[in-house]
Amino acid sequence: MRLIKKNKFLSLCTVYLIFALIGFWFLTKSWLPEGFVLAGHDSGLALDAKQFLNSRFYAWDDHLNFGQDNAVNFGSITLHVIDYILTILAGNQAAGNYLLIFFWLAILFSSALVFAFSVKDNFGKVFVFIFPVFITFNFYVFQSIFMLERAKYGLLSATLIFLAISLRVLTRKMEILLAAILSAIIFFVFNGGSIWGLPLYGGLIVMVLVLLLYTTIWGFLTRKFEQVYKLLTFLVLTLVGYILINSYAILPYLVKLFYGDLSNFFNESITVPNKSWLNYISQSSSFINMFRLQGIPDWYTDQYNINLNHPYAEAYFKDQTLIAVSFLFPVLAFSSLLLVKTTIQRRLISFFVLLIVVVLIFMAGTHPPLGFIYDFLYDKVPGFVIFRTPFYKFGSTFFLSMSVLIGFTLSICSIKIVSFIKNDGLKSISTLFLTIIIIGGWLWYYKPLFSPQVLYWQKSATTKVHIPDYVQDFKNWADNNYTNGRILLLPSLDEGWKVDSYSWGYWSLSTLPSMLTFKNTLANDASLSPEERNWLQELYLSIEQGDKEEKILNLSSRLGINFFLVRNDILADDHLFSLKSPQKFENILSSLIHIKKAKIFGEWTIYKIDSEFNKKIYAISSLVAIPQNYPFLYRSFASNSNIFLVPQKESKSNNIPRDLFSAELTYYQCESCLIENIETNADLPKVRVLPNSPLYLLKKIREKKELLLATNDKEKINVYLGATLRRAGEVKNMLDFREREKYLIGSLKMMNDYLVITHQLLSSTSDPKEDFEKARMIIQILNPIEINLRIELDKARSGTFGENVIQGLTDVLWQIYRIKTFYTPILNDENKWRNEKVFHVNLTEKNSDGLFISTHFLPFDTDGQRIYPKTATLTQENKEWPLKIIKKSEDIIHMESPPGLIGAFTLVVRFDNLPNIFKSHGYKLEQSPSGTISCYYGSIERFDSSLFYKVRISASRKDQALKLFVREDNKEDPQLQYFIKGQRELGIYPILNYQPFTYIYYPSINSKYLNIYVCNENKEKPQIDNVTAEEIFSPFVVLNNESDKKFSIKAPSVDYDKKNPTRYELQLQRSATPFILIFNERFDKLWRLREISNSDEGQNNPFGLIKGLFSKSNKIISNHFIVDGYANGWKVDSLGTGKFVIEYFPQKAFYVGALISIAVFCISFLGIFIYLLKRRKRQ
Amino acid sequence: MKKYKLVKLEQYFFKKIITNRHQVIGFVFLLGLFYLLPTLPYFNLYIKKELILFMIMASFMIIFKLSIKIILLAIFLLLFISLLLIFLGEYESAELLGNYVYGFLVVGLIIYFLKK
Repeated sequence: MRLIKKNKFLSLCTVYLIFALIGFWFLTKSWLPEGFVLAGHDSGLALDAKQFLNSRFYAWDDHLNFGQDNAVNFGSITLHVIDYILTILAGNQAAGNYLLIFFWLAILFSSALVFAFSVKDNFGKVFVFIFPVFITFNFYVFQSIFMLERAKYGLLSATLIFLAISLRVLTRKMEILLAAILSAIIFFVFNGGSIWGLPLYGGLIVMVLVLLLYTTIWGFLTRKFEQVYKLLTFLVLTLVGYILINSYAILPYLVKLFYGDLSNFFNESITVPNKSWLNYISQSSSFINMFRLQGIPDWYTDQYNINLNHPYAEAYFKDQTLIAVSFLFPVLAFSSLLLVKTTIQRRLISFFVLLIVVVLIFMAGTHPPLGFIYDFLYDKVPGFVIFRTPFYKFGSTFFLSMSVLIGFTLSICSIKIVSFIKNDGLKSISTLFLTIIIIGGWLWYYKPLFSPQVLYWQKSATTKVHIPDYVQDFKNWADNNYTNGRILLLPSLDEGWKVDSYSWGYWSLSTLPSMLTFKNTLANDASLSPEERNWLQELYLSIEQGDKEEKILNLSSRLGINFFLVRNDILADDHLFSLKSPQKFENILSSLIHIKKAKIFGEWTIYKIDSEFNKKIYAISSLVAIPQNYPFLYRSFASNSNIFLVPQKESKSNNIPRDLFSAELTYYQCESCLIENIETNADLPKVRVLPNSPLYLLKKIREKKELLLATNDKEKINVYLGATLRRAGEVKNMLDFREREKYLIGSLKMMNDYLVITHQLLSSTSDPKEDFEKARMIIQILNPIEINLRIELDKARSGTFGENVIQGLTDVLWQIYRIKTFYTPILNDENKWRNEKVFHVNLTEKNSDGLFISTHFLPFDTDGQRIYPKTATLTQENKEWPLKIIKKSEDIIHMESPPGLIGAFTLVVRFDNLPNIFKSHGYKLEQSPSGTISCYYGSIERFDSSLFYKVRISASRKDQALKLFVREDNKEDPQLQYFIKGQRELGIYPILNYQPFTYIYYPSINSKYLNIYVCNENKEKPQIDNVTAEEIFSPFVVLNNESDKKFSIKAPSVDYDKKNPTRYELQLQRSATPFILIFNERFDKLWRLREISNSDEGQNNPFGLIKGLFSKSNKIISNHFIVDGYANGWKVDSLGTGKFVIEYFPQKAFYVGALISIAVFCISFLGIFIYLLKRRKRQ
Repeated sequence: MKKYKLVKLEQYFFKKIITNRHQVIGFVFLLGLFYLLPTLPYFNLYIKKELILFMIMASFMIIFKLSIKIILLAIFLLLFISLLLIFLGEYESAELLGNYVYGFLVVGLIIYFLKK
């Protein structure tokens, strides 16, 4: 009888589920009518799910730009299998079709129903019907539905089922082993996608830890630990099962992590920029917002202001009814604590409340008041940086817990209400009625989620697109034709946004062609490395400027480009970014002889290079080494050669193949330039711990430790100067707060001692005529101390402090004077270094052809022409050798040295006086908050935001309070519509007629015009003698060191066969001399070149490859390095069989992992089957 | 009659004070400590008046072992005031009350566990 009753309810639930699914079907159909699909933004929804799935089976993806690692993406195979199956069922090859949305909503709803069903005995039957609605329709799930975050939905579904299983284990309704197997299988299917989905586990991890903590607390309270052991065993077994069954994804990632880029995992450069993103995401996640099931970062522009561009957020800010209803959620959730009756209810409800309390700390991220905890974890816990979007990563558990608590309260209340009714039939009808009211109320609150607007990520931007036919035609052409070489997209993407956008709606960081076809397309998108970006920018610029055809072909060949795709339907007139006109590229490409129009597809045109170009794998005999900082030097020294970019700092991890360099460029920075661009800074460091603090001892210990660690005089000088600066900060603070004199005198004495030692060290180690670096350091550190102490001395003399303090200050100022005087030869005439640039160079026999100066860093004259060096002289021990200056090309100046000069020399390059580039516009009255003021103003001629400018202002009249405003504007001489304001504003102080006021300005990168205002404090015209501005330039000198070695002109030819994106088989022609094999894919340590014997053939199947992994006959070529800044190069010394294989190592790990996964999967199913058989027998 | 009621009330409070004398002394001691905290060096850098207020309320709840019902009532009251503040556009104050709600929830949960 009981069983029938149970089955009746199960039948009811099934009927409910069927109705819900029908509802979802119509809902998704209304969102995505026939002909529309979801694509773009951050969705990763491929337009050809089958090809995309195929690409997921390889550890290297060679269809995007210069190729990229795919080993971390194996975990997403299950998601893409689902995508592919659904595309077959929907009859649409695009993954983002309506069936996919339906599927994921249905999975989420069904999982919630399973969970609710499992707790029906404790939470009431109404709970079973309302909970799935709560968990499916909320802002957490729907905030990303426009990009269909399948990984998130999958993991949330898995969490629900896992929670149901865990509760059954704790209540002894399920055996531990069976539960662990089931959990592992569930997390095999819904594994959060690739390794990038790992942060999505955040909520689940917190939930598991809280469950463990909670069970332990109850264990202590009841002194029974049976459940703790049980839970621990279950969790450990599940984890083991999870790792084994997901080996196909985990093993390749571990290989990548430990053999590849482990250092990147903890790299500060990854965490630091994300801190601002983390703060942005956390700005609106206050407790009050989250209790109301809101706080979604997309909704806000700042902490309290709504994003009016969001499709539906505004309603929840303005509609008072909706605001009031949102406060019901926490009331209902917390009321559950008052409604518990049974022990199990009490334990379950208190667990979910505890879960909310804990998960809120994580979900709020860095938002106050508890943001410091997350901040600490983010900074200190290795690997925690992956949780850079806390709201999204921990939100699943919070929304789940809140839904449970709200559902429980409403369910128990409904039961209580109907308990007053005696008639059973009426009771059932009333329960049904109440359930419908609850569901209806919930759906009413979330009514915007039912509109098609939900697929919009901004009011006017959506991922719901109709793909034009010509785009499909291009795809068919690319898929069905032999397109060897890369396809370059034209025009280039906007360098700021790096977004591919089209007039018909597609908008994404993933370029459309890369989501469309699996032929290799190339664009300046966000995935490029800096070196790859440089090459691509060079090519884009060459085409855009209509450079010589030879240069375009040469660059294209170097980058393996054989096609150009000009897209005329890009969103060229978008207000956010500027794109070049496609027509311009069409015109230029059409005018070239060796580039032919291959095919037109509506708005898209494809051009083909009709000449030889570098294949993906080829051999060369030598390289030219170029400094990594100045890759553009290749134009002058290696336009037809492959290059090696030598890093600024060489380390053991850099494999530099010096024996293969036919020439190596070395460079020397201008040393006198160090003196020129010192920023005037009068600020002393802020110090909190003063000598009168008990914590000061710690500070002193730290300084002593620093001094002990300093091994040479240079380091000691740095430590002493740093300590002097800190003492100065302390002295200033103590003077401001009028601390006791004994502390002040102590600090001043310490400063004095440090400066005496510094002077001694400098006298013995530094050359005051040529040591520009130390002179700069002295100025930078001692100037602010000097300025501040002079002011304090004036104040102290007024009688506030005693004689000892005044004497202490005077002594310190005297020591500063002594040190600065030491560098008089350098610092005496700073203006001298404006036109005279000093370098210390080392000449050898290898670089006898002289020295070179790149014109890139030379200034312009008033006509816009580069100012070339006037004279250049080499000096050594009072001997001088003038150099002959020859303009070699637009890029380079040659300074011919006399033959036979070898050794260390000082090179002095002199330039004509730089022109004054300040263009005066006269006087003007401007408005300021203090009233109308008179300004003398002007602008910088031919302003370039990549340069630095020095502004000098001379004024003889000292009784003026002048102020300098430096403004970055969109035009020259703008009409100001507001009080005068500048990017920099500073008082012109001191006004001295013998020394002009100098200010160095570093423009922001996007500025277009620079306007300078010198204003008085009233309507009287400022009395100014002169305002000048000039460029600060720091050229560098290049030496071309030719190798003595003779390199063969012709390298052997290479025949290759691509087996798959991770394996190429090569046959090389015999060569007498060593050569370099180039593989034109992005460099990765895990690419391996292996010479194979005849017996190793046939290793292109998984078993053969695994066998090959352990084969002793493998000869791996270890001399692997980066060519052209991005590609793979190997030095091959000798040829045996001439047969080689290039393979990507993580692919092997995938094969091994896949075998383990399949085996574990089969064993798990077998185990479940046996268990079911046994259970049936028992029954 | 009125005087009688006042006497009754007075007697009730006296009785409460006497039975809870240890708690009262403890609470007064804590009040003094909380009063002093913001004046101590280094502590004053981190302890703000909002935090002191919360600490006083939380310690009151814990020392006098308020029932979960009363704590929840306080939470609902704070939520209601917070709703009014949002209507008035005082988002910052509403957020502060939300923080108190969270704090009370934590305190409530601790008491809940301790009582069980």
